[in-house]
Amino acid sequence: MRRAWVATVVVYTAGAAACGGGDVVKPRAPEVARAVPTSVCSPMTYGGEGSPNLLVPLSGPLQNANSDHGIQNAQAVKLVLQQRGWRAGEHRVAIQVCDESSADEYVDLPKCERNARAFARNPSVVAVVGPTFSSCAGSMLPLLNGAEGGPVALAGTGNTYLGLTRSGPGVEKGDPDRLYPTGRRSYFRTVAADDAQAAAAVLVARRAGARRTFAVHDGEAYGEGLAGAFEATARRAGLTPVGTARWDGEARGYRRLALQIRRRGVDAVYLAGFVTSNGPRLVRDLRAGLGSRVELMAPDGFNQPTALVEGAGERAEGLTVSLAAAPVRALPAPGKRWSAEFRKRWGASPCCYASTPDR
Amino acid sequence: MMTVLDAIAGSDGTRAGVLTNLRRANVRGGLVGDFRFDRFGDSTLTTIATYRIRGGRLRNEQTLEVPRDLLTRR
Repeated sequence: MRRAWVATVVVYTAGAAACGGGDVVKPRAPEVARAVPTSVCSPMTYGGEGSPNLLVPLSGPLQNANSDHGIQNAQAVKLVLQQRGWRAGEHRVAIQVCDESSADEYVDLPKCERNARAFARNPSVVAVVGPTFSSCAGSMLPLLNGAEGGPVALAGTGNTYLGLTRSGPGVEKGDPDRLYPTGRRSYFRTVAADDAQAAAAVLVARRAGARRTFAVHDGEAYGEGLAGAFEATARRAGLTPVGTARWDGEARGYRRLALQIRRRGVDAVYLAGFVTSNGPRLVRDLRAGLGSRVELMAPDGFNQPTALVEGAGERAEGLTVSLAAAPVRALPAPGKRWSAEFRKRWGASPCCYASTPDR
Repeated sequence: MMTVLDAIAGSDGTRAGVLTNLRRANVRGGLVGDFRFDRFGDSTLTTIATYRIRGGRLRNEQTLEVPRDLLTRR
């Protein structure tokens, strides 16, 4: 790793000498790609002719509950590179797959930082695909943006936290500016942000004929942001948001919360947060207290249908969950064709890479 | 990944070149449709799919492009 940097500095210096001492040193592409340490990533993979000269690492969760995201993203990236002969124009591109999770944590932020440092130090790395989790992107971005060899582009695969790019409801103080120490943007979001999910819930409520809405959140930044965006969007859309409340993820039940909402004459409730914040119990008690005519809607933090159905039973019926991607059947023709190729190559439909399963 | 590879293909192989091309990317006929990145780095697509639990399973109901005037970003 350190040797790779020395080699690059030599190349830059030679260029400066050739151009005259006063000229600006212009970086050049590496001639041979070097791997980042395999203690944090898989070995470098390359299937083309000769040796690769550039490296694009992929960050994704390879352990824990969301490992299907990391595995399928890696499979998708390999398929695309195979289809293109491991080339991008005149460049020969290798990949390395790097884990952003651990056995105990669905997202391991110290590991995200270690990965980002390794990418930033390696001059072969010209862009990073991933990570899957917004918080991992938030850990990686300042390190990649401030890299000594220039900002490294980061193309996130599933990041919905609005504060990675903008201000708005739920965005932590200092974001997004603190993520870009050079002042130059270097992040590219490939899915819709949380404010679009909140707006989609408002559209679902309006379509169902709802007029009075209520938002509950779990006290996490994600949930608070979504609740704030839902309330603001509901107002813009001509609905009447009548309140917001926090649900305690440690509570034994939510009958009193349901009663509080019922007294407000509400037609639709947005559950802004994670299913892991006692979500199945919340759904069960709200449905029991509000009845089947009230719309219950939730963001992608509730995308664990098995846990919901096991925990809430029949009371989970009718709950709407949004995801920031399109199912394969809604993709344009090139997306459908590529999904078929993915299925043929890997034996499963793409679950998590810019599309969701046809369920 | 395709957009990243396209950005690399049109570049001199440097980080700055790849970054410049990603900022200028204007994808037509892409896997998820036509899009580009705005000056903040957000995709111009605002695709959201909604699913509903029916019969104990999550089933797709609709896929929509959220109108930009409903977004709360600043």
